[in-house]
Amino acid sequence: MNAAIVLCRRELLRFVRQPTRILGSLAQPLLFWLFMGSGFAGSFAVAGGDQTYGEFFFPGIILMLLLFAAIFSTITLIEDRAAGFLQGVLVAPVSRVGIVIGKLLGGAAIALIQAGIFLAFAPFAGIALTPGIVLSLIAICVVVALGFTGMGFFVAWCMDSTAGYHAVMSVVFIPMWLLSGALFPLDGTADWLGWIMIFNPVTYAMTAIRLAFYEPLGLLLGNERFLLAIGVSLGWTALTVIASVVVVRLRPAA
Amino acid sequence: MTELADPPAFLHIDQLSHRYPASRNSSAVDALDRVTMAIAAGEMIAFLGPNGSGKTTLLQAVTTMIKPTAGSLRCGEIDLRRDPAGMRRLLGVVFQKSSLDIKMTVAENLRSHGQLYGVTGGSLCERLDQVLDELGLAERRRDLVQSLSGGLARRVELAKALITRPRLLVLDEPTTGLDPVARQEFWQVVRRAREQTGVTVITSTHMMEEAARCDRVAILHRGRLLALDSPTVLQSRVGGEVVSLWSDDLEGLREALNQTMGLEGKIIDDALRLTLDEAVGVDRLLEEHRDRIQRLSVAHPSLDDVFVQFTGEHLNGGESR
Repeated sequence: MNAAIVLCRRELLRFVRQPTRILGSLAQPLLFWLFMGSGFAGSFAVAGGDQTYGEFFFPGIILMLLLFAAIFSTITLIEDRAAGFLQGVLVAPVSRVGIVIGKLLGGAAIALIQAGIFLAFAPFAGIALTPGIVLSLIAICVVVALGFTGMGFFVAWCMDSTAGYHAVMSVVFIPMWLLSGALFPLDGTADWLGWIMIFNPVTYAMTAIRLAFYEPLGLLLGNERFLLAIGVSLGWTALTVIASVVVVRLRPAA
Repeated sequence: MTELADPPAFLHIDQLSHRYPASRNSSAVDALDRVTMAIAAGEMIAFLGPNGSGKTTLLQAVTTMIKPTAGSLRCGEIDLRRDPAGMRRLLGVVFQKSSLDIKMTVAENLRSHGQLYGVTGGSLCERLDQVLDELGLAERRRDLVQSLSGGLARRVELAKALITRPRLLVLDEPTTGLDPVARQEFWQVVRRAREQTGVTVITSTHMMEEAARCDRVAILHRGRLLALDSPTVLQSRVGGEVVSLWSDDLEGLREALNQTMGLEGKIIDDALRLTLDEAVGVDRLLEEHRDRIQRLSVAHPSLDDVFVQFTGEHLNGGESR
């Protein structure tokens, strides 16, 4: 567990020591939400509802924030592994699982801090939060953040250059978010798009977060759509964590 | 042999081979070819060779970063293949490239590393103070690593390797990119640490002046161990004096020297290089071939000459004909 503690603490330390990173990680989602929320306000309407786009898009921004936090914390792995801090960790007598856990917990913790701060803006989107809702949202965000960080870890460990990671990020990670129901709802899309969204694991994370914004945990647990969504999300998180552990064992160094 | 081979060996390397498999962009490479050697506890060994000689691969095998394809490696009672985690406990490593987190302070870097080895609490604080003192870093302990000079950062790297009290210190071209003064300081600190702790040191280098100050030098060339002995013994194997000659017609001069005096010269880069013993002195050489020789230099054999003798190549890559 030594490695997990050391790596997780390092992750948090690096985050707080880079003020521009903190600022950027909060300003970017805020700007996205403000600009897109206002831009689509006139042309967007949910069937049978009176939701504004700003309100609809708010949970989507939370999801984006979790994704980007995971990307930022795992992309450093590439340089760290071949020439950097991780070299020293890899020759130390620590378990490989500990390395994965430390990095994942650190990355997820940063994502949660950011999501927590952003949640404070929910009333401006017209969403009323209760303590119960905040708690269940945090619990769901833990699962989703770990899944994203695991996914980023797996890809980063397989890469030799940050350029390669950027490619995967733009053609896989960001589309996964775009097609998760964060920007537009699943119903009413073209069939082929609908199919992609159904097979996209991030869609289920989005559904879980979206539902949790409006229903307390007690009601959620009786909601079949929510149970499916959180079930798939848990499975996806388990899968990415296991994949990360496997890849660390298979490919120890540069 | 010297008396250094007599104490019981600490690190045994037996028929160690490593082949990098062919990939899309490169063909298979035999980076290590049946290297066998024994290193005594407390010894300081330099692996000398140009890029691609296999020295980094060898150190990567010792540090468990790669699994060698064949052969065995034993350190004390520990077999690398059976117990890589046990092997890691014995090691302190300074890598060619920095392993420090520049956003953390000197003390934070060292403390984290100690914790990885299970050193915590009071004993960690004690070791931290001690190693910072010994390496002259006490005043910089609260500074971020990014504010340190290259030489100081390397010293922190060394402190990091020593805080875990290793029995085997592995230095992979540790002074790359340092200026001569910083380089010298670095080695002073290594030697002092060695005197105080008795740690065994293995290092790789392509700089002769670094290798010359180790107990023994292992000459590696294309993955094979060509020689392993103390610098003095290696230099004496070259014998006599090393003469380099410059001429408009190197090939002609070589022929002539061979025929008239029976000397075997080698053309390396732009000079003809030969070793003279007492029978043929520089005086006679000049007397008989004055007209062909433009310039001449005489020197005692250096480790570079040793390297040329064994491999036909300069350390910096010049090829011999």
